[in-house]
Amino acid sequence: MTAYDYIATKAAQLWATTAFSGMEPGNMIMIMIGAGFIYLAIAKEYEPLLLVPIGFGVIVGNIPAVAGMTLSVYEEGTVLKYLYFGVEKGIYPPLIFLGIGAMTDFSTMLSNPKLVLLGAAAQIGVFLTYLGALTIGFTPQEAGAIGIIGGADGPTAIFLSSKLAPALLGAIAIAAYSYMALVPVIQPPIMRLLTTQAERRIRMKPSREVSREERIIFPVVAFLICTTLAPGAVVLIGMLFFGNLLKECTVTDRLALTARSAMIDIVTILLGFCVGASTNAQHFLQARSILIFCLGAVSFAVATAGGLLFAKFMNLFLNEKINPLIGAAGVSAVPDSARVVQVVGQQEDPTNFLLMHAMAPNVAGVIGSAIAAGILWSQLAN
Amino acid sequence: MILSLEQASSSIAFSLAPLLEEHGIPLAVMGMLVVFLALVLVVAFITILPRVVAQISAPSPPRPMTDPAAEDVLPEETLVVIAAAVAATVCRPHRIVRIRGLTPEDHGWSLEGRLQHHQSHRIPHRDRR
Repeated sequence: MTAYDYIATKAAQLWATTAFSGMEPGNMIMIMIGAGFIYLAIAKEYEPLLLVPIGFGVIVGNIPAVAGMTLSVYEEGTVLKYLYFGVEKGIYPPLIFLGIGAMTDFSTMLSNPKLVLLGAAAQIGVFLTYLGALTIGFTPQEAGAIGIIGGADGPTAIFLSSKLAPALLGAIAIAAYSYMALVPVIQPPIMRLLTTQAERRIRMKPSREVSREERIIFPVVAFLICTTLAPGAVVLIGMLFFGNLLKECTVTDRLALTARSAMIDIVTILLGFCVGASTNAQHFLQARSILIFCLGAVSFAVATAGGLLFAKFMNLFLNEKINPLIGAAGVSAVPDSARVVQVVGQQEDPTNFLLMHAMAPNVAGVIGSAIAAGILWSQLAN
Repeated sequence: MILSLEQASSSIAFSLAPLLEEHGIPLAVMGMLVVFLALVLVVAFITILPRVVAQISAPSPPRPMTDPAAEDVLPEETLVVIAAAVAATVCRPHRIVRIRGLTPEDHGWSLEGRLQHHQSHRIPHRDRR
């Protein structure tokens, strides 16, 4: 063997042991998408806490493994597989709900209970998208998991798809979080289209003060009401209200502080990274993923419209009119959609502050989407 | 990837038939109804919650009114003991105008200690020399 042959053989061996040899165009596209997420998070500040872990996870998940090496989330015994276990088995979403509960202040909802109905109306997006997905050939289980994207709640979407359609989990999670990040882009045109200028200028009365006793009793009784009607929601709703009780009872401040800071941060990092790492091009880049993205957009738009139109419907019967813009916050996506309501409202009247009013349907939307997920799970699991 | 696109596009078939099955429109309608029902019950509960809380935390019924003057009357023996103690302490003509119990806010022990402390180093007046 000549020196040239020896070097060529070694170079070929080296090439075969690098990621370049297994790199396909799909992997490169996904790596660019991951880099795009990171760019959007850092430069545009679109949901950075989610898009940075997801974006980097996408890049990690699309580095091809060398033959004989097991690296990805889909291969047994890998580190990523163990981390992905929390996604696959639906462990991370309830923990995130615990943290969300420990952060959430239900006071605005308690002070104006009728606004809770807007959070229910927005769930029309979930069920109409479910029907839409059925008509184009998805199974009922897949359609349910796709429809929940309209709930605009990433953990709920991941939880339900891990139970009903694990094969679609990556696409559904990416779609849900992408649309949550794009709330400021998707919602305003729909809000302006469906409301008049006079409606957008409606002012609402300030909320009343809510007593500590009300805030303590609410999570316990609301949990009982919701889960007796939809037992499938017991995990998500249970953790949400448990976290809220930790916050409101004021004798477990240390637990509430941990739940809403360190714990939720750790779980968010793991969840975002693992979801990103599951978007391996060979599993992710399929026509079905594109369909899921399209259906997710429809779901989001219909949910926004559902909340808005129901607010207008309620105004037909109310003496004290509500600003229909706050109906758009019923899609959950806490607190982004409430912030969008505030921004759109202030474009019409800079002295009108809708943020606190919008938080009521916003947190009601979290409860509504968790109940919707519970119903879909209990009905479609078998 | 192109292959998977072609495979998937061939598998996408639009049909309204699934809507009429058990997992179609009936499930969607039932789902919306349950979501609304749950949240309507939550609304009803939140509406009555302030009244429930008011009932729970209502102040205990007021005690029957008693004559404040009657409560203030001390037994004669106690009055005699207090008068004797004051006479022994003051050692000059005096008149007891009012007797009241000390409350924690009065800091009785601190006050007494401070009085004794001040009296312990009283500086005599020059004109008494």
